[in-house]
Amino acid sequence: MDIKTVESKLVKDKYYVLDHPSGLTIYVYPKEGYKSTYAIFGTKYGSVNTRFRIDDGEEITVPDGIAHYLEHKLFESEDGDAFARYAKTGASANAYTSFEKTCYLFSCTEKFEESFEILLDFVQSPYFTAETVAKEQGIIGQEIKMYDDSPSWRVMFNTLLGMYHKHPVRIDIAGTVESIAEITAEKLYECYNSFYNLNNMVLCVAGNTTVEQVLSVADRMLKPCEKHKIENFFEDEPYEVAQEYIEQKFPVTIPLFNLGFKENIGDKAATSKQLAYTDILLYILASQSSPLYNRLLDEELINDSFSFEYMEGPHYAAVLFGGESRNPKKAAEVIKEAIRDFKKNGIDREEFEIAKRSVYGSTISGFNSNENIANVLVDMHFNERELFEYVDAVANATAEDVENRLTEILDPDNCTLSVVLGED
Amino acid sequence: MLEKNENLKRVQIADVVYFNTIFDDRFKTSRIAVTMLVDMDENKVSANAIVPNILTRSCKAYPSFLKLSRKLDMMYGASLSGSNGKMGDFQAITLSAASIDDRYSLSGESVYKELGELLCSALFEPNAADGEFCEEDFRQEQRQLLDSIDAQFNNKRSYSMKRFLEVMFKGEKYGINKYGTKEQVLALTAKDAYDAYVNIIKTARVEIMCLGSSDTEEICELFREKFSGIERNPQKGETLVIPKAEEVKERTDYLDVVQSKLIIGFRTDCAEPSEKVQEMKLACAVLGGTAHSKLFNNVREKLSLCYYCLSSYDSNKGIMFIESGVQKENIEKAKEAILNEIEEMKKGNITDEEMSSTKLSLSNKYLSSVDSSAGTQAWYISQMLKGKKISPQEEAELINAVTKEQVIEAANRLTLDTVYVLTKDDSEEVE
Repeated sequence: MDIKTVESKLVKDKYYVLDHPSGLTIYVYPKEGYKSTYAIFGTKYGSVNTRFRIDDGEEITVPDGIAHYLEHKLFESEDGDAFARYAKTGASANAYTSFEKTCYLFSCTEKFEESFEILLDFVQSPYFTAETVAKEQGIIGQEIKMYDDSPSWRVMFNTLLGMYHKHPVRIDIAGTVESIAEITAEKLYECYNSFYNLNNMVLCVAGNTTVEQVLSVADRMLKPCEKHKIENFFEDEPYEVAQEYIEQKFPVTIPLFNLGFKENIGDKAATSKQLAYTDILLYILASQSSPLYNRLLDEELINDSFSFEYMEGPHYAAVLFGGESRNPKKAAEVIKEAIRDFKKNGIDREEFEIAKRSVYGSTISGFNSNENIANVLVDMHFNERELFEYVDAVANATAEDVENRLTEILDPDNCTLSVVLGED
Repeated sequence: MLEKNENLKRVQIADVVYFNTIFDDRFKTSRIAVTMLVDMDENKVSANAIVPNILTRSCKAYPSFLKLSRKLDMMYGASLSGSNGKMGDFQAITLSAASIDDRYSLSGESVYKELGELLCSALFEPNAADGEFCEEDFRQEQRQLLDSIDAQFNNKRSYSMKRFLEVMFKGEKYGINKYGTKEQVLALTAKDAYDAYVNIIKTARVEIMCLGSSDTEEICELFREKFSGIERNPQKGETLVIPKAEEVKERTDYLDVVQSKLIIGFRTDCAEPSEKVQEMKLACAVLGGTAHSKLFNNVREKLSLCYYCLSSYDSNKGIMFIESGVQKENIEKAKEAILNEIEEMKKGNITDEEMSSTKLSLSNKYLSSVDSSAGTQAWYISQMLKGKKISPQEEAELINAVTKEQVIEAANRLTLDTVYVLTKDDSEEVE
């Protein structure tokens, strides 16, 4: 088995990448002196993968929300659920489904090997019956309703709804009460067999562990998989946003907004460098030390809930700004104006240096957390990036690099403003 | 690593002001926090609440938000933040700063020391003149505080919790909203806020907690010198603990929500510094503190009555509450099912498995907390404020020593105090 060591002088850490004979890629990131260990087992399969085909077979379309439903059901097996098994080891376990991936995880301080065995076992052992599938409708229905009550969730999803014409990222991760009613045990198996193939998955372990310890369980538990070809289909998505403005009434006393800038990404994910430059760029533009942020604050258009992020996944990428605002339309205008100025005038060298130092510091700080390390490793793996390469790219970035990146993103004429307003 | 506290050093530097240092070289970051406790007082709560925000917005040395933000960026993206919370019947005002540890600075400079200096500037040299904070800073933070109050309403879970606290602790300091009311915030002036600041510096109980890999001698001296210039007159307040509920308070509020919220509150007859606190902690966790608790397994999973259903115990105040998100038609059923689980516990229906799995899960939680620098810092701040010096490892050991009989006894100390519901008003549809 090929074991690669990746080291970083800046972070002063190293991790190992294992090409396991079962087809699975395993990352092990030991943290000296730590008491806890965090393990995450993920598949490159999320809510947007609703049309696909395997090994040039028939194209399959599945109901919205099925990846999330599958995540819930996978915890069950013929003899009880995984939570009950974790209860005997004391591990704290969870799972999540996002647009582009589904992950199962736990963290523990004792009995790591037992918990690790449970994780590898239940994720590789689907058990779906008509009865167990029907039982979940109520619980997931409640979960969907809870999101319906969350103004911050709604304002974000409405932005995606406004930005995208066709892309499934416009649909809630959990689906709708109607779409999940169509889910059957057969459909769950179909999705499981297509995407829960070890060659399409990744395993990351960070914290109080070693390569030997991980392998002692993995060698025994991983069931080798034939690699198969997975093709995901997405309808052609126009460059322009679908709607420039979208509004929803809610019992809120202070309006919320999201302003999303759609990017023309194609089928390639951003590289480590592109990601590093994007992070520095957005920091210069909108961090608390930016002229934009201070103007928005001085004009009372935002408060400290203001934030920004770069979101990306298969065939979509966007920059989102958002927060609470008494005047979302004016806030959006000011942000767009700042972007236009930014594009016209280029990047101030001093602001660039300050931002780079700050992004560097936050990146280093991120390596405190097992959870953060393991989750970022999953992301990096699915997007074919390397973790320390990102740190180096931040440390070595030049103002020109960042300026070049600016030409690729943040088109001020291609954005959606989503607002959640009070009801009166 | 901090297992038995040998790496914790504590010195008194002024009247009820303590400087604590935790040596830990496992982290990429170092951090310093100053926690100040004052009595929760209806007439002062809003003025106190705005103080940490103003102090971390600018200071004499960096007299605007932009200048201070840039200074923080140059310190490798350091954070300087203020927070306002509640601890028992006290209002806890905290200023904290964090950045990368000295070993990661690019030119070998000590970021830790700089953090200490910056925090001292924020605390002792505010951007103020003639007994008033800078008007612009005050106005901005006043507006943001009003927004925070509104945001508390926007999030239905936090709103229902706020309302529940108001109902259960009517007439008690604990029931006071940590921001005060909108009207109170609107009526504040830059002078009121400054007066509150002076009062906090003079009368609060203060704990300074540093965590990092470098020596803190210089930082300690800096704080000692600054506090020596303050005329200290520390308060001596206590948290009111009501051991048993007299009668059950019921309250329903109506709002246009899709999912209803049900919160049930209990008095526990067990509060700090009682030796029985760990027993109540375990009892609360067996009931609804884990993903295999009675409430999770029976009320959520088996009966499908709610999306979330969990219990929390506040040992400072000696109370426990259960929060759940339910469909309107299930509110009564959920309430009965929850109360039934407690009755079962009182009767002794607790399995060995429930005991052992809950212990494992709590032990995991406490032992894991030392792998986070913020978690370690927060743990010891709360220990110091409780007048204890227990490490997370020792806490886990204490919990593991609790017997089933003690948990049953703890359950029998619970008395139902308040049932609060937030739901949609369907009365029009009924007609």
